[in-house]
Amino acid sequence: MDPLSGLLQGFSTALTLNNLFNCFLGCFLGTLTGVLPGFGPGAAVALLLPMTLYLSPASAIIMLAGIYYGAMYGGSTTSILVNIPGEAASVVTCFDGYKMALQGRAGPALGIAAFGSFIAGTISIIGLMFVAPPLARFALEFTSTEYVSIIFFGLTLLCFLGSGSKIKAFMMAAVGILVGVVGTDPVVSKDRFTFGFDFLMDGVGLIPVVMGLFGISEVLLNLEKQEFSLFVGKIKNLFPNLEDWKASKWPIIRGTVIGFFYGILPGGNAIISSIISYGVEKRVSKHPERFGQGAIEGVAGPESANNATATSAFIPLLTLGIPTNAVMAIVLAALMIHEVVPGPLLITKNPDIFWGVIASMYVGNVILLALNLPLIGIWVRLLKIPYVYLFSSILLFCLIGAYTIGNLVSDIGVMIFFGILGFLMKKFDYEPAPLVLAYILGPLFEDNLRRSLNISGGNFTVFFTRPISLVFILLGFLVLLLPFISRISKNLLKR
Amino acid sequence: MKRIVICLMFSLGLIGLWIGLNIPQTMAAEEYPNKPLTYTIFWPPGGRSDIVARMISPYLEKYLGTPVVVNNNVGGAGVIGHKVVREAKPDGYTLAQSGTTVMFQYTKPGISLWDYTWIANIYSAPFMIAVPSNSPFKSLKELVDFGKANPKKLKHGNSGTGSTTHLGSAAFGMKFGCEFTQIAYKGEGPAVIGIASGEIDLSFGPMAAFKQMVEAGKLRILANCAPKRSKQHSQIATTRELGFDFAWDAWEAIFGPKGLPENKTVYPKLSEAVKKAILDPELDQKLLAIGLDVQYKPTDELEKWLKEDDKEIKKITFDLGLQNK
Repeated sequence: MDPLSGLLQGFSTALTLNNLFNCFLGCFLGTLTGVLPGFGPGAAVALLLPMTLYLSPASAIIMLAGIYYGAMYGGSTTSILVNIPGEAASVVTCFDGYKMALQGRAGPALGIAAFGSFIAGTISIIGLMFVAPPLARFALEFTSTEYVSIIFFGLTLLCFLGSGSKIKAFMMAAVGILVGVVGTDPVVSKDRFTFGFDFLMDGVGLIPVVMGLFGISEVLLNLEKQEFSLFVGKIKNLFPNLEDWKASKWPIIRGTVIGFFYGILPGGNAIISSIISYGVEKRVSKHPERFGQGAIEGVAGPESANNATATSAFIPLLTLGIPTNAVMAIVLAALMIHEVVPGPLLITKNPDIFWGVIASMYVGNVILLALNLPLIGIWVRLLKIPYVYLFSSILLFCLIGAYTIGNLVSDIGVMIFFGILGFLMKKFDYEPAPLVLAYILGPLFEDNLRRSLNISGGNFTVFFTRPISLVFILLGFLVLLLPFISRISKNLLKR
Repeated sequence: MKRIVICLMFSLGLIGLWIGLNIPQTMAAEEYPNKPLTYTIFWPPGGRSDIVARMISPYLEKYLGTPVVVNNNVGGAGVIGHKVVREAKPDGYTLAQSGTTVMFQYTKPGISLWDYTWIANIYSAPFMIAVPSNSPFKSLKELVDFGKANPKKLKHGNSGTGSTTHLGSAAFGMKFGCEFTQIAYKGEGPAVIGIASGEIDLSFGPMAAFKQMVEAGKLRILANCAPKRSKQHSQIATTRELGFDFAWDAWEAIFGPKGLPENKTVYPKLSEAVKKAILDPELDQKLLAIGLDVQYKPTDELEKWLKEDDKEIKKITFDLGLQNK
C-alpha cells in the first residue's frame, strides 16, 4: 500500500467519532500530565493501561500515543512559568523560558513552544509515513560501538549547558556520574554503592532526581521570598512576534532533525534529545552569551526536539516491535494484550492500526495546538496566584507524582534528598543541568563502552575503524576544539 | 481564577465519567473471596510478565468472582516485592506471578524459593538458539564444532549477568564443551537488538523475543531447546533431534505466601479457580498470540519440578562463580 492511500484509510479510522474522542482524551490527559509537575507520561500511560482492555487496539494506541506527545506540549508550561519542569524532557526549557517569563515574555515563550511542537510533530509524522521501515533498519546497524561515540558526542556538549563557572559545571558532572553508578554493576552483577538498601539495587530513579533537583529545590528557594506572587509586572504580548519567529525558525528545524534521529535509536529518549538540541543551539549561536538570559532559541529548539522524539519513537515500535523507552513499552503491551504483535508485518497485517495511528497523530497535533493556544492566556495569569497556594500545590503534585512512578515510598525520599541538594546547589551557584546530563549519559556510556570492549576483546581501535562511530568521534572533537581554533585564527588574522 | 476552576472541574468530571464507564461491576460475596485480590508482579508495565498478568487477571476475576488488582512492585530488581509477598498473610488475597527471577536465589540476597507456596505454573516458553541471518553457521552442529575448536571465540548475548539466558547458554556450553564469551545487555530487548545488529554471534531466548526480528529477516533460528517441536513453529528442529540432549525454558508461575495449603477454607477454592483460569481456552489463544504455550502444573507437580530445577541452577551458578558471597 502506498503511503497516501494508506493515510486515507488511516483517516477513515481516526476520524470516527469514537476515535476522535479517544484522541482528544489522550491529548487532553497528556497536556494535563505535562502541565502537572511530577506527573509524567510514563505514569499516566501505565495508569490507563488496564482501561485500554475495553477499547479496540487502534483506539487504545491512539489514546496512549496522544498522552505521550500531548505531555511534550504541556511539559513546557511550568518550566516557563515557575522554573519547574512539568516533565523530565522539559528540563532545558527552564533555562531560557523562565527568564523570558521574568521579562514579561511568558506568552511568546509558551507560544513558540506550542508552535515549535506542532511543526516538529507534523514534520516527524511525515517522516514516519514515508521513511519509517528503512530508517528503522538503519538504526539496527548501530552497535554498542556506535552508541559509545554518539554518547561521547553528547558529553562534549555538556560544557555548553552551564552559563556560569566551567569548573563548577565539571564538578557537577562528576557528581552526576557518581549518582549514575549506584545500582547493580551491568557486567559482574554485583551491587555498587547501595549501602544495603534494596531500593538502590535498580539505581537512583531518573524522575525523582530530576523533580528533586529542579522542582522541590525551586519550591524551597521560593519559601524565603517576600513577594506575594511570582510576577507582578505587566504581561506583554501573548504571541511570538515576527522577530521571535525569525530567531526560532532554524532552531525549530534543527531541533526537529535532532529529535527525530534520537527517537529512532533504541535507548534514545526525549530528555537526551532536548538537552542535545539546547547544546547545539548554544554552540551554533552567534551570541551564546544570550543563552540562559531569555533567548527564545533556547526554548524553540529543545521543545521541538522533544516532540519530534515523541513521534519518531513510534517508528521502531511499529515497524520492528522495538520499544525505545518505558512509555513505548507500555504502548507495545497495550497492543499485545489485544493479540496484536507489532513488527515488520504490522503494516500488511493490521493496516488499520498502522495508518490509523499515523492519521490520528495529524489530528492530535491540530487538537493540541487548538487546545494549547487559548490556554496560554490562562496559564500566564497563573503567575498572579499567590505563592502560598501555587507552590504548596506544586509540592503536593511532585510528591504524588514521585510515588506513582513505581508505588515506592523510597522514590519520594530520593526526590526530597535531591530537592535539598538542589536547593543547596542553587544557593552556592552550582547548576544542576550538567549533573542531570552526566547522570543520564554516564551509565549509558559505561554500559556500551564495557560491552563494546568486551566484544572487541579490549581493542580501542574499533571506535575509529567503524565509519559511523568515527564521524561522531570527530564531531565530538570538533565541538571541543572549535573555540581554540577560532581563537587562534583570530589572533593570526590580527597579526 | 473562576475559569481555571471550571476547567479543572470539567477535566475531573470527564476522567471520572470515563473511569466509571469502564470499570466492570462486581458483586461482593459473603465468604472468601469478599474483597479485591492483589496480584503482584515484579517488573514494570509493558514487560512480558506484565502483559501475561493483565491477560490472566480477567480470568482470575471470572473464576474467583472478585476484582483482581495487578500491582507492579518493581523496586530493587524484584527483591522488594518478593519480600512484601513473603511477609503477607496467607489469606488468599495476596498472589504473585514470577518465574525465573526467584531461581536467582543464589545471586540475590534475601530471596528463597522455599519461602512461598507455589500454586500453579502458567506457561512455558522453550528457548531458541538464534544467530544473525548473515552468520556463517547454518546448523547447530557447525556452531558447536566451531565453539569446541575455538573456546571463548563465540560471543553470546545474554539479558543480564546471572539471568536465565546467561545460565541456560552457559549450561549448554558446559554440556557440549564449547565455552562462550558472555556479553551482558540490560534486559531482553537490548540483547535482541544486539544480535540483530550482528555484534554478537548467538543468543538463547524464548521465541517471543526473537519473532519480530526473524520476520524482519535479521535472525535465523538454529534449534528449539525443548523435548518436543512447538505447535506454532513446527519447522524448527529440537536440540534432541539434532543430537544435543538439552532443554531450557522461560516459565512463570502463580505463587503466594508460605502456608496457603494449610488454610482449608481458602486454598481449595483458590487453586481450583487458578486452574480454571489458566486452562481457559480463550486465555490459551491470547498467550499463544504472544508466543507462549500454556503449561499448567498444580502445586505438587510444580514444587517437585522446582526441586529438580533448583539443583541444576545451583550447580551452574556456583560453577560460574556468580553466587552471592
